[in-house]
Amino acid sequence: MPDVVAEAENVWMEYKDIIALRDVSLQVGEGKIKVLFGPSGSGKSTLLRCLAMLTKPTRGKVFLRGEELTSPEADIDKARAKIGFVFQNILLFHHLRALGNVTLGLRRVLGLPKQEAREKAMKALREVRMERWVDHYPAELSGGQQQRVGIARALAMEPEIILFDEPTSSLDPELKGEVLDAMKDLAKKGRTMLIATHEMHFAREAADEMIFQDEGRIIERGTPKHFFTNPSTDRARRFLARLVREGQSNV
Amino acid sequence: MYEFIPKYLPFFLKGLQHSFILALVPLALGFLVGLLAALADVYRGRTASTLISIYVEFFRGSPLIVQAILFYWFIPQDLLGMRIDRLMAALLVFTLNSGAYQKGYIKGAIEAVHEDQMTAARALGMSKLKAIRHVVLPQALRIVIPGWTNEYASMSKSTSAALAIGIPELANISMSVASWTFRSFETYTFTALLYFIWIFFSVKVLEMVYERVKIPGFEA
Amino acid sequence: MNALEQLIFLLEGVQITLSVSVFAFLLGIATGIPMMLLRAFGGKLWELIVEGYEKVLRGVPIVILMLLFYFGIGVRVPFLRDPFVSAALALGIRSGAYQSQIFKGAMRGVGEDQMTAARALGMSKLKAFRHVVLPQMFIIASAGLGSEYALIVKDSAYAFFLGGGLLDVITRADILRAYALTEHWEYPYFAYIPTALIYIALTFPLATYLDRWGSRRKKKLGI
Repeated sequence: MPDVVAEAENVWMEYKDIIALRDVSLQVGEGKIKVLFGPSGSGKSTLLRCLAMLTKPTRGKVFLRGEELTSPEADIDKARAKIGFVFQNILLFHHLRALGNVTLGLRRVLGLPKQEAREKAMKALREVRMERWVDHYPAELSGGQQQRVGIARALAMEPEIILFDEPTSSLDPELKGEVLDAMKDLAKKGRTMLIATHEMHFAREAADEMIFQDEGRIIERGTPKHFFTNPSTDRARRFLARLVREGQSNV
Repeated sequence: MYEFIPKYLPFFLKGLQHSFILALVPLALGFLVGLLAALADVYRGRTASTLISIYVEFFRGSPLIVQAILFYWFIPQDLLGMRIDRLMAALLVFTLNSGAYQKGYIKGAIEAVHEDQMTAARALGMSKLKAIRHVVLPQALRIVIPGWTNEYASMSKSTSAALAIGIPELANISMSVASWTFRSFETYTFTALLYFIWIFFSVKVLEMVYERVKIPGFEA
Repeated sequence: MNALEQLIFLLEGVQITLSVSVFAFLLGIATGIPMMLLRAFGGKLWELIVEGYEKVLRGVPIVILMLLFYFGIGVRVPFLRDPFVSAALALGIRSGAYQSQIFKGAMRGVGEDQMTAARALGMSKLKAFRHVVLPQMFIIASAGLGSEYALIVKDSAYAFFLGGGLLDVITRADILRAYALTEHWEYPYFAYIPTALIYIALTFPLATYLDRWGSRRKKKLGI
């Protein structure tokens, strides 16, 4: 694959007595949308954090556009600026308004002048339909609105890839829709994204490939069609059936 | 009863002016000391923390009068064989004292800013230093303002410790006026009133500043 | 006097410093709790009066209060013409204003539910306060009370300006300094180093212990 954006190669993540990732390899190509799913504790979040080098894998390599981030010489801060990250618990900067949250990275990391940063930020905020809320502080926004600002904050940096760590799981059911809609818009525009989520409706509509992870391993991968008609492993089948049963998502 | 006060009012005001300087300069410089000490304590290793806690415990654990005597007489005159200006000595010792207290407030505020905020800043590609400067500190410094207001009030009263090295600040002036006039009750009640007005109004001003910079979701 | 004799002379002042401080601290509790209660339950008028009183006491340097008691009021009230009494009273009354604040916060920390549960058992308001609310208040307040005690010990040094009649630690340091000057010693002000350390020893361990004890108890009891 000539246009691989992000890659994990035989990545292990071991804490004291638990192994969060076991020999995980994964590639995300230009313009691809991959959905990562699996039970909680299966290591999805750890994998995303490793890809952004927010935690350093204990073994294995991580690449961004062919550059090895796990090598000691890598400029991690520079790489992170090219990787968008959307957090499960949102993590907006409390002291900045919506606009300020989006311009902060543009100004302080990319060093853009104020006006240009503002324009870029507004563009990103429009993409997630938050342009009317730019002057509000995080505490004045609903969870769904906050997360849309979180997406705009990542988007504005014009990243090579955006990693989503269960972006809707901390939200009330009625607020999930607006965030998923924003993500679908990005998908249509050909953004490269790796998304950990249990929103199967979204996955079916948007994913190029789905990856089922359990106990730190990638168990099975395939198209949404493959997963929703005939998953080949028992574990994936059981997990999908449970998702449907629990009504966490309507497949 | 208080008819003699107007005659001495210029003295009182001159004293108040000295007290003002003795409170404001150390407060500002002490902020820098406290900020550096807090940052080093939180983000540097064990050794830094140990050194800082020795500094803090010395200045928080002993009377300010004793510290003033040590910094005006013992260290410069006994140890170094030099004379230093009284006001300079007082400003230095008050700065170090206030820095020790401010370190505590600032450190608490930095720790109150959740680690996640650092993670989010690092995810944007910020260096640790940039994340501290643009994300952690702007939040921490807002949290610290109420505590800082306390420190301001307490520093203002502590200027009276300069009595120990004979700077003509308000407490010193009032002792002089009392001894000239033999009217202790009136002199000291009037002095108390001056301190009270000074502190009351400046705390009000600080509270107004706090209201100004307050951010939704940040009420302490 | 040799070094050891000087040190013993200094240490003999500890007893006086501590007596002044402990007396003031207890007076602070004895006035602080009633003031807090008056403020909370005494109605609007009492709230205003107590708040004003506390504001004034918290807005004046302790040395001015001591001077006022000793020289200002002491002229007419002979009982105050004792530096021990004046210093301890000034420290204690002011401490009451601080402790009222500390207990106010502690009572809020205990919460009204505890009172309600005690009343539901058939306790009177007073009994519920005494047996259910107050013990928990002391646990929550322990850290604040520890630093309040440390503040009193340090501020007791201001009694030095009452003319040197109180032979506490700092006054003894001044006596040693005068002695060293007459003897032409090289470091006449050295006595203030052990003096600082003595004050630290009197404040730091207890305040730190109360702080830790309080947070451990709070954790254990889930308050």
